[in-house]
Amino acid sequence: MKKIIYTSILAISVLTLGSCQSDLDSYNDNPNNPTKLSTPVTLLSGAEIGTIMNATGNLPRTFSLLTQQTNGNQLQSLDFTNYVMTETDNETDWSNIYQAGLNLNEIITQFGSADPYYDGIAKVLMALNMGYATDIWGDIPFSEAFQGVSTNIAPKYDTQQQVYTQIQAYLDAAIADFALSSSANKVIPGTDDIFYQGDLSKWTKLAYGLKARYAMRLSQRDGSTTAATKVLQYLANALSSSSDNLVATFDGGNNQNLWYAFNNQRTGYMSMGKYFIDMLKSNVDPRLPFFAGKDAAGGYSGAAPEDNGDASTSDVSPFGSYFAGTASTPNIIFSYSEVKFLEAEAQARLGSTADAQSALQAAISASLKEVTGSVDATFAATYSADASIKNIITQKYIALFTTLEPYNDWRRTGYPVLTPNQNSQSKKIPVRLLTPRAERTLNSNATVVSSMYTPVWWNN
Amino acid sequence: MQLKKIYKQNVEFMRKLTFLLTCLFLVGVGLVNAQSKSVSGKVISADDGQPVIGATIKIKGTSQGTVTNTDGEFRISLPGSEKTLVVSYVGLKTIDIEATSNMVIKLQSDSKLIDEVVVTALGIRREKKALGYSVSNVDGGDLEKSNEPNVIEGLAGKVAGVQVTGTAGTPGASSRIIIRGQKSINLSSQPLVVLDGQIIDNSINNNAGSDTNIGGVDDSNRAIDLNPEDIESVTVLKGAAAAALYGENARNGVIIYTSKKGSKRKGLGIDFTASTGFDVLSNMIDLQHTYAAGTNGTTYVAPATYGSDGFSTSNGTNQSWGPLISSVSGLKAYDNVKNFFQTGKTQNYNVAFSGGGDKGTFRASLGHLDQTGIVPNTSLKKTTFNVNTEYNLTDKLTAGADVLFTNTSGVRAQKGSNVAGIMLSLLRMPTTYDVRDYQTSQGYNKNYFAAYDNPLYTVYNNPYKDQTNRMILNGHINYKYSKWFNAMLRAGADTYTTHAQQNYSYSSNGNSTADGTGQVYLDTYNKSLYNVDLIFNGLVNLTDNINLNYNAGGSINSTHSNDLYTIGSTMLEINQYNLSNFSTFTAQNTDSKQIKEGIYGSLEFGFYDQFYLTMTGRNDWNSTLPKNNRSYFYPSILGSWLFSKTLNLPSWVSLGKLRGSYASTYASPGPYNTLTTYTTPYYYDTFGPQLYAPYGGVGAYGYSTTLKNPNLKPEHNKEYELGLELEMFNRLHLNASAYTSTNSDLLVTAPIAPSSGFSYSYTNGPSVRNKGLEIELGYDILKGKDFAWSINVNWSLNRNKVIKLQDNLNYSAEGSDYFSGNLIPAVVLGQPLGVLYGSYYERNSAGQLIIGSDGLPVLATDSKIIGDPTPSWLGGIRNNFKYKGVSLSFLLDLRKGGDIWDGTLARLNRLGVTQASANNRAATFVIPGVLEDGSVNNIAISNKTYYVSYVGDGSGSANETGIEKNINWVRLRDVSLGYNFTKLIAKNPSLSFVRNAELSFSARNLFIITNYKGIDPENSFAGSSSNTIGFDYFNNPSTRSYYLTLKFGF
Repeated sequence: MKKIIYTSILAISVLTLGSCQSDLDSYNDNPNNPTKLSTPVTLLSGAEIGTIMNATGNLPRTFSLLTQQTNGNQLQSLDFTNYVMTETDNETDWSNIYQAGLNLNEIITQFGSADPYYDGIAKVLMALNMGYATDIWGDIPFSEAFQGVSTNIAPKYDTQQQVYTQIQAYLDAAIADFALSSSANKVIPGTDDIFYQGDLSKWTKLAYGLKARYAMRLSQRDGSTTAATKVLQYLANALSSSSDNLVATFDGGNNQNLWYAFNNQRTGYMSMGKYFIDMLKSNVDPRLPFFAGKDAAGGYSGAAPEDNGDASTSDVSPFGSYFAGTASTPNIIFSYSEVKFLEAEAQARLGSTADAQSALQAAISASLKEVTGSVDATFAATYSADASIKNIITQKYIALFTTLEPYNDWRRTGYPVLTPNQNSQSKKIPVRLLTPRAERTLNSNATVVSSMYTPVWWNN
Repeated sequence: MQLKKIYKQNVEFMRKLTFLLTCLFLVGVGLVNAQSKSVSGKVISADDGQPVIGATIKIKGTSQGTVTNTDGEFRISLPGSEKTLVVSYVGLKTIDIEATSNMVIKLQSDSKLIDEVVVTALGIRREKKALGYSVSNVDGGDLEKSNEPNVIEGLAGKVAGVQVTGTAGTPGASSRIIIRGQKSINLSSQPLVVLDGQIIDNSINNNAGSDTNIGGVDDSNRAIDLNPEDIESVTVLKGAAAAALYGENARNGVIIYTSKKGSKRKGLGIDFTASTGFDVLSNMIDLQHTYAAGTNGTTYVAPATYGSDGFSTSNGTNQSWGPLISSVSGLKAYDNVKNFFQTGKTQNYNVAFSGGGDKGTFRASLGHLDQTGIVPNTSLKKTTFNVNTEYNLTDKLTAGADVLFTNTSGVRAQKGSNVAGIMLSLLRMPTTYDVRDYQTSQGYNKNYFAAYDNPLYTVYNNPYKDQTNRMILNGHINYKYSKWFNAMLRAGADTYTTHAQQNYSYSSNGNSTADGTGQVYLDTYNKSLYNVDLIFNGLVNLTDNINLNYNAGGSINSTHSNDLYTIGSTMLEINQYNLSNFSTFTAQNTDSKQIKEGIYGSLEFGFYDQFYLTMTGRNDWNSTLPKNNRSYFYPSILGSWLFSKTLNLPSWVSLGKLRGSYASTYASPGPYNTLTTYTTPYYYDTFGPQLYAPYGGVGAYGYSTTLKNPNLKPEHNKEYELGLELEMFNRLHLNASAYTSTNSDLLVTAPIAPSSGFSYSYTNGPSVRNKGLEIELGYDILKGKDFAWSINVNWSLNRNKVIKLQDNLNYSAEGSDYFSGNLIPAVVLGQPLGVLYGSYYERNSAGQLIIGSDGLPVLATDSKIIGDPTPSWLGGIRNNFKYKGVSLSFLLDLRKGGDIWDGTLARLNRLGVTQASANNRAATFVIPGVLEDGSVNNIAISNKTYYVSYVGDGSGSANETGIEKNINWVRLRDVSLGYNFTKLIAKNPSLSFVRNAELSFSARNLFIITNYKGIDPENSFAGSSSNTIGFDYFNNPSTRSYYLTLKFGF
């Protein structure tokens, strides 16, 4: 009896310990997620999803409040309308930009030499995303960013000037990549490219368009003429029609138009802004019924920042069908219309009034077509007659609503002239966002800016 | 006065335990049933004449014997000519007495030390006097008295150094238990839960629709699957030293539940218990019933209106800043809180059969709990089936098997910050709206504000249902070769499947896109724990005065789980919840497995029955760590000195013991944390909407936002403990401990600068130290034959401090418990874990608020520490009174200090719902402070501005206004009044069919006295699986309960 017990205990022990040694080795192999990818295909789709978030999510919503195109009536949105913005409010936006950037950077570093088309697309999208970050926060990490895996978790901040140089360099490199023959690529982008389905001519046009956008941004730094000349030079190869637009699409299922989804989840937080609606109404702008929904009285009206949420939200116009109509309503990220506005401004800066007028008319027409589906030629002609910077930027303010450009242009040119919220503590519209808390507290190399009234470098 | 050794409770506990042990022992020794003469008798205490249960009767010079039954009676066969019986009982003097028929044996109190026996690590029983660490015992009866269906919640207020936080509100909500302070950040700080020697699962699985800490429902902690009625006793091992032999996570302490077992007896024993109870809402914020819905003080804003498709045609408002109700015709005030909550009802039935003979014992029980909550349509149902058997194969070989099967199911309601949550919508409701008006004529959601679900609508239409089937199996074989060699092989499995389903109906705002298109979440979660232990132990008498107790063993623990989770969105036919009725799907599955192997040993030397020295060591190998860091050894050393035996102390000191220990333990991370992976990329919009793959049919990968670490180490815990135990005057019992425990290399999901490309890094980082003091004091004030009164006090304090942080940073958020209000529990150097870090107001050097031109304080642009939620001390006072068959017991639960962020009250002030905001709407306020030019603030602001933006959390207010400082409470946690009426129905219970009959009435949470202005300071917003405490944001409310229990023993 004893022997049987001893033997069986011994046998069980030996057997279990033996099998457990191999279990110790294999049990921690992750069955759920890969640790390596074989192609850049899925990375590109993921980074494009991120770009859609950055281009059409909380950032344009936030800045549309500051540019008074919309108005905050409740809770967090009301805070923004009152210019109460803390270092945590836009932390997620910052993280989203760097999350998309990380995966673009992985395409470039892991697959860039074998797959130059992917390299090029990644660089264009990186330029766009870093452009968002630097325009909002000024000095940002770029040259040392995205290196968490190689243990740099405190990247140094590049100056905005360095970032702008790098953006232009990335766009140039992308244009060169796109010019290579397809045989130089192991994988060719296709439907995984949510934006252009692998259409490299469109990517090339977009790269030139972005070069123009970022060249114009430096009009105060480079000087009006230099900037305008560069812009015109880049525009020669940029988007040539609205079919070249960079458009964010939404499947309407799990992925919904973010303006629409916000309005569902945060009903009553935001409505259209009084300044914007009044401008559209006085212009008898055909885009009004597309930009705004009907108010309680069946007309169109906006809430003013000074209403302080007292105006019952159902009394004023909600978001319109053009940008927030349904779960799958697309939003434009970069448009042919913007290209034409850039051209108009450049021509105006170079003193070519007639060219400026015709570009402005084309810009307004493109916008009318994009928003309303048809071109009201009279309207376009009427509002392109004045080729002043003021009118060009004001028309651009209307046309590029839902992008970040109205806020950027307002800071750069001062147009349109907005009256700050008189009920706010500061009575001044912020000209940047604060360094996010995560960077202030966790990155010892961060250039911390703690005032929303310190302009970014190009805005000086 | 007769001396008696231990206060009432411990005697009862010991009697039961000794009875059990003696039974086991005798069963193990094996009785010989020879043809012989038998005698019977009764053993009583000379002290009070009460029967002595479980006294050992042995025939002198033999190993044969028996024990007395619950009435103190025994019968024993006398072989041959031997007639002398040796009668003994813990705490009473052993006597030799000649056997006569129907003898009555009186036992005198013994002035010698009582060799109380406790269950320690790995189920090994030890004399308490030898222990070099602190243990606390809770009698199973005390657990029953609380009438808590959750055996964790039942420990609240009963043990020094143990903090229990319930989430309350809905039946089956989880309870969080922390012993000696929070020791970890990313890993659980919950103690190990052990049932009859086997580690069992007590995790909280956030299943379908509850995958965030903030919204969703509160899932149960899985210890809820145990039946309190099956628990004989609970032993709490508090220190790391006590637990060193359990390895992994035992540094958090160990809670050992010992099941009731069968005992040797005549015939079949039947115990029947039935109880019924009522729950009502216990506390509520004072809400105003004077002003109507509205935003500007003059215009009434009508409730949201809805089209026939269920979608809103106007929004309504969530503000109560409207005109006087009396000024608007047709309006009246409703008491919506009263109209919403109902009386919860509980019914609990238990029947147990037990028996035993020479060959073995068994106990089988069946329990059924049926509880409905104070929130309509919430419930908990639990059926437990439990069998414990022990069989003597030979006189040296015994085998036992325990089986527990539980079916637990619940219907739960949404909590917290959730537009389909009940409290959010209910408390914000303008009093002019009637909560009972909850559905449109088509049956769709109808509410005052279109963005929220009506609370009644949501409880009826968006139920979360879960069902768990759980089986805990445990088998063991014990071979007792001799006193010096005993071998035990024990194997156990704890396996369960939870199926959970969350419905969001058509028109509800609760679905993830909040567009009323309906959603279903389906989750099937399987988890299994397997344990195998092989233990050798024995007692060796090295000399006459030196003993050695040794243990050596090995164990293998493995955990396997898999989770299959599917969300169907956008329903086709209204309110059909089969996946086929949805057009968009998100599916994910997660598999996980982990194996731990350990070998361990302990040597316990006893010198002259006065000094004890124990050394333990354990080596673990854990699959979740990188190969180089996978193996770790940890020792402990413990000593105790019974100085009352060594020193010549006055006779009224019956026990004096000093003890000290040092122990080291480790805790390792969960699986798959060593390599950074690619996952489906998720991009979150700050305000809720999100984008992720598959995106219009296109799949994607991106780096996970958390950087993993190929050089992970286990967390390391070192703990020192000193203790003093005293028994004096035969009435006073003191157990005091002081400890300091340092936890280093804590695993953290540390936030890192997002510009690195990652938001978090999973790594070893901070060190945390806990220092504390625990005192348990018992005093038998009266010990008369008929009337007895005893009082037991426990008191503890714990000081927690972060003593090191990674990378010279002095701040990082704790885990991922981000709260959207920008307020987070933070890890800050020199501060306790989880200090509240949030926005604050600018102050001048004199500490005065700086007031802006709008009359409101100026908000600082950054954040800082604004509160500390850890309490200064915790205490409990239990009083027990007994008069003949009537017993009365009540427990006062005390807490001193600790801050709470009362986000509920701040938000309700902002919305003008509170009574405070309505006391004087015409009033103006000047906030004390200075203007920016240094002069005293003289800017008057309106009542509304004051309550919205200063007292409330409105635009421009800081998180600091929501912090309530130094929250104290005195809570009457439970009261129970029992009456034993056995004698009424049975003149002589020992002969009657009815052995025991008891009726008891108990109540829980009868009152709370607190300086907290919110609903209830005891709540855990983030759920018990989180380490976060001190957040109150529309948490479900707590309940007050009344129970009536009837018990019969046959």
